[in-house]
Amino acid sequence: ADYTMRLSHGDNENNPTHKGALRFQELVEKYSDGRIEVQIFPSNQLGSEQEVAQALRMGSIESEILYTGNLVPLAPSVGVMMLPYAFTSNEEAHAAMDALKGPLNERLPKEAGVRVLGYFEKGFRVLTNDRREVKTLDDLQGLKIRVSKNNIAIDTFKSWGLDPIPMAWAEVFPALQQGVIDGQENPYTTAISSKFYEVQKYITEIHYLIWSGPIIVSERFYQGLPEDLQQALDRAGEEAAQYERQVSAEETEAAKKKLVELGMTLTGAPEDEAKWQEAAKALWPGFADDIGGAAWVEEATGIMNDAIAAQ
Amino acid sequence: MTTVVALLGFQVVARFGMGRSFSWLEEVSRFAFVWAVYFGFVIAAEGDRHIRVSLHLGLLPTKLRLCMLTLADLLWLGFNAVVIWYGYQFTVSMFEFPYISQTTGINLVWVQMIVPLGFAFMSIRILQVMVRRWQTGEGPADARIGD
Amino acid sequence: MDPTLLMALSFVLLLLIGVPVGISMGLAAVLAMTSANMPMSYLVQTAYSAVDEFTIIAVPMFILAGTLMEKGGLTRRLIGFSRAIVGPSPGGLATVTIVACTFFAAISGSGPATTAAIGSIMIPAMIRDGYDRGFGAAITSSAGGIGVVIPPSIPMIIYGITSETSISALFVAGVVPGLLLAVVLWLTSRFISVRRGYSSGDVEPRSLGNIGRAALEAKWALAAPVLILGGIYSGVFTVTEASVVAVLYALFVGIFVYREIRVPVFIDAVVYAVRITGTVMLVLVTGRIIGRMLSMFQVPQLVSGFLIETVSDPIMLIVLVLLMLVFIGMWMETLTQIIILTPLLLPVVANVGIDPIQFGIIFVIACEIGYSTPPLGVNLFVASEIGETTVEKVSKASIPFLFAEIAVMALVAFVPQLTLWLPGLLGFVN
Ligand code: NA
Ligand code: NA
Repeated sequence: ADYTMRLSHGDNENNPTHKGALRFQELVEKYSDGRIEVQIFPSNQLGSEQEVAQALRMGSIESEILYTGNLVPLAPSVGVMMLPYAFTSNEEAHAAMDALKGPLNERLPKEAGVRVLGYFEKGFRVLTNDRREVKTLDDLQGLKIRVSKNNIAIDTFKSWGLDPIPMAWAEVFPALQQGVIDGQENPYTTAISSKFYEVQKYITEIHYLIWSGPIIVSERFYQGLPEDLQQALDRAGEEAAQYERQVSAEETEAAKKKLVELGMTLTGAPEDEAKWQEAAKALWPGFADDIGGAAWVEEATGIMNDAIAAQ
Repeated sequence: MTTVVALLGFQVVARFGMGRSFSWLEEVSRFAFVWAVYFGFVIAAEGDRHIRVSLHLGLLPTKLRLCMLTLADLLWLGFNAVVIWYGYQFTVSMFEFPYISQTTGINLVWVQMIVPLGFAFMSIRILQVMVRRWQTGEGPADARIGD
Repeated sequence: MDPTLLMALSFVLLLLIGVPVGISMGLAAVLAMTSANMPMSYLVQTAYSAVDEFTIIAVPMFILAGTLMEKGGLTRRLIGFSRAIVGPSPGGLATVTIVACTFFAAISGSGPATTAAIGSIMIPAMIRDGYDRGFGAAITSSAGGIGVVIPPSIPMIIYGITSETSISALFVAGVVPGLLLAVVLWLTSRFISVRRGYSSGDVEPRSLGNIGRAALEAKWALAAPVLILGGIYSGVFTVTEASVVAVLYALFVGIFVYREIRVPVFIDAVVYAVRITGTVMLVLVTGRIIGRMLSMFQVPQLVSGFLIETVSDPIMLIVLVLLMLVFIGMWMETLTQIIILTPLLLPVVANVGIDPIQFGIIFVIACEIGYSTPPLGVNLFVASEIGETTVEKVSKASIPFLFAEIAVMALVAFVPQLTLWLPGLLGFVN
């Protein structure tokens, strides 16, 4: 091969992310006639998601699939994908993601030296806890919930009247087991892969945020490729994303079934979801400065809404 | 390190005593910890306490041992030079492409800067130890050989 | 030249010249990166991120707590109590060290943290009683590793996530092998102590009255594990926070109860903890870089691929896997090792009938051994720093303990009941 492309991601080899990565590898090699070789490094072998994203900018590593929230500190513009309740179904999310790819690629190379090839997702984050079934906003009150460390998640939980606890991922399981925290929020498949069913009892589908993950490539590497190979990468990224979304949907369904078998109570969406939405959406203006400015947020939400409406 | 103790102690008290948690606390303690570790590198270099395989060096005649250790420290300085140079470039690029912490809102460059800075301070200490070693003829890690 | 080979050769050469271990690894990585055309900024980035890890904070914190307990008078009283219990038997303090490490293992999820906490108390005590410095450090380094075999355990959590096995089951499965390790280490230390004639020093015969008096004298020190354990299991704080609570508790008792800690003493203790952290972390930092380079050159994959292709006999395969785990554990940082090797080796050993839970415990014992083996052995570094002796001396004194631990690991590999009986009894596995 003329070019070697290292692809890092944080999930293990049974995860939809990895299956999508394998498909990407296959497609890149096919569309580039073997001129680009893709080497996949799962489980953050080359460094944490944020670390690798920085390495992409410097050109030490060529590509990565990472949680959108981990890209925001480097590339604020991508944060529009994380506006709470920007979309509430997987189909809406897919339409929005695909419509945003072009506009994001106008901005991300300047902000963070990376570009998006396609957008993966692993389903909406769902809330798990071991205290009580959360059917309404009132049920949520007083629970100690761990969130990942970004201000959108933190502020959203605050808008629901909670003081969430941002905690390092490695400490989450023992903290749940020992009762330091009551619950956490992640996609259904994570409840299986991280064994949360052992220490959690109830799951509520809060649709505020989807686990979305772009497959990004170092702009330095991308610009060093001839145009036909750039197109090969773009095409492979989009098609791999289509495939990954399908795998993810199947695995989410399987995970739900298995969690019920394992004794968890699946509540579905809260009865008063409108209230949750109202509280969280009121935060949007306050986020603008952190995610690329009010003008960009307006432009991006316009693009997303048009795409959703055109479905 | 004292700062880390104070911050985390406050976190435990805050969560247990007042039922509140402060998301920025963990992050600021981590940053303070990173700085403490780099100070640790410098303090350890000052006392020539970084771990070496030195058993065979203890068997050499003093002059030869001093030469070997000088060569070793020159290589060490060479490594530091690499880290300082690329650390400097990395720092500059971090101003251009900022990495904004999501809980505290600070540009991580102010924390990551400690890498080139720490290795620079360490280099000064290494030079002092090299001079001291030629003056006193001491082996590495003061009295740790042949206790 | 092949970058991996270049890295290995230059590392050994640099060590021989007398370049510090951490710097030798760093320079070897620089050479490999240059020959593989990798931008050097990756080195800088890793030099930062390897330090920026919240869970590592527990290590210097327990060192600081241990130092403060020593300067504040808690340690002296705790040793008094331990001696009263053990009485004038040969190698009494070594026994105390192992018992204390086992007990502490139930508080801490980390091997180096256990070594630091117990070592900063027991190693100086053993040296004062005429034990060989290397021996005192070696026994603490080995027994400190029990910290990851007895729950809670950070490596088990990582293994559970990587292998998709039950973390609770792993925790429960670690209890019996952890206790077995303690017993085997004790037998080994006892054998050596009797041969060398180590005593507990000037100790009165064991009597209930003596033990009671010593316990009363040491009540503040004895309350520390109760506070820390109780705090963790009742869910008040995490392990990292517990290490901070330990520091605050030691400060509180040292200042207000025994009145032995003053500001200069505290500053000395902080500088000491920072310095030890510095020497240990430098090796961890560049070790991380080496680990990343090995992943990038796909070395673990090559090794395990070779293993599967060439060995067909199941027993031979298990023995080779064990040897490989120990060998790689010498060079690689624990968590990196688990993340990279688990997905590669688990299918191989499952093929010959080893349960994933059982393999998890085998792996964690291998990590425990790796903590005490040069060139990258964190417990070894912590213990030799506290014992103010050289890594070589501690490594040499560690050899009998390492063989004892390897024997336990083999036992666990060939007797599944050791790991699977207790979880089965409690309903964690079928
Ligand atoms: Na433990
Ligand atoms: Na080792």
